[in-house]
Amino acid sequence: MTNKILEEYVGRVRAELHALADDERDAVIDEMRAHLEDAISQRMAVDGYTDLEAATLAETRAFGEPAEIGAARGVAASAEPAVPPTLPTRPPRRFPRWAPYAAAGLIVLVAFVVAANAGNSTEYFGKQFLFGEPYQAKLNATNQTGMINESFVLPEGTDHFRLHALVEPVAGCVGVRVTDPHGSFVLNEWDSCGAMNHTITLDPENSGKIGRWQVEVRYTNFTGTLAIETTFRGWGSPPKTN
Amino acid sequence: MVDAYIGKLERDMAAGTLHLLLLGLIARMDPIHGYGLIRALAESTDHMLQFKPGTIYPILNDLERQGIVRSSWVASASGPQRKTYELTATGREVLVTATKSWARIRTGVEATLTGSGGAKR
Repeated sequence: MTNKILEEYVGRVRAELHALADDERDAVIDEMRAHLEDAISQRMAVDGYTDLEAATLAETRAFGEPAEIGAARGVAASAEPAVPPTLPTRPPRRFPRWAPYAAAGLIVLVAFVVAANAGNSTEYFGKQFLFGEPYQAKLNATNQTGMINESFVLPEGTDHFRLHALVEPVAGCVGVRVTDPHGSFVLNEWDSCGAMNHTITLDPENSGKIGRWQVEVRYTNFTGTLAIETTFRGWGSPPKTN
Repeated sequence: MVDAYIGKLERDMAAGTLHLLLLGLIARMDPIHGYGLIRALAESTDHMLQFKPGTIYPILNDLERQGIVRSSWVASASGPQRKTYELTATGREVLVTATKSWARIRTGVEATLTGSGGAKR
């Protein structure tokens, strides 16, 4: 069974390594893929991950952003990437400026990669980490009790959205609540005190969930791992990042 | 701001020892593939030093270009081939020299920090 998230990530890395010679790029990709397959298997066999998507997201994040990989090899994806033949064509659309994601230091990384050009439209893949390693570091301290309120915007043009919430407690409790722009809970584990591994996949354009989402977290004497991340994709002009 | 500066200091110190650590681990565990090497690096430092694989692999490739390590693709019982690394004869010489350099640097730093070095008020 094809691991779509892995293949998407490999594609993004391949685009960043566009300037390398073909055989060198292929060798880099082959080695990276072997590493990731080993790492994902480890997560699922030993580290308790039951969801292939979650394990893959965790490992591709740990491996590094494609832009960082390109930079580490001294190449930049400045050349026009090739258009994958399987991309559907879309009519050109106007796209509003992306709202800056500046959530008080909790955002670890926002990365937008131009995956392909199709006429006047551009498909892009955005990945936003809401609660990444710095946030985990905070919650790994003992006797941590508190609440976090965070929000992000799904802009118009988003046609695919996924939110993944992972809690692996060692001690204490974490409750998580995610509210869509209409005020409905799409995830409500507010009274939870155990492990959590939820993936929410939406088609916002069809379900009217464009707009501002709320993420609330409350933790009580928590030690462990907390990761909440979103991935989204849409059509429009390449967004500016801050 | 102080925390950020300390974080930068620690990252610089970790980055400064990375090549030596990689060579040392490859020497102990060769042949070893990248994934195993990265895990060994984290485990041997008690997870104090963890680097993104995306930055480790270019270093390995660069070490190979310099003739310090050599690689070979090895068939795996499960999944695709794995690229393994081992030190060359040049690499073993580099490791010996670098280890001595590290000992001198560590001695000098400790002497400075403890005041047992030559500089006096």
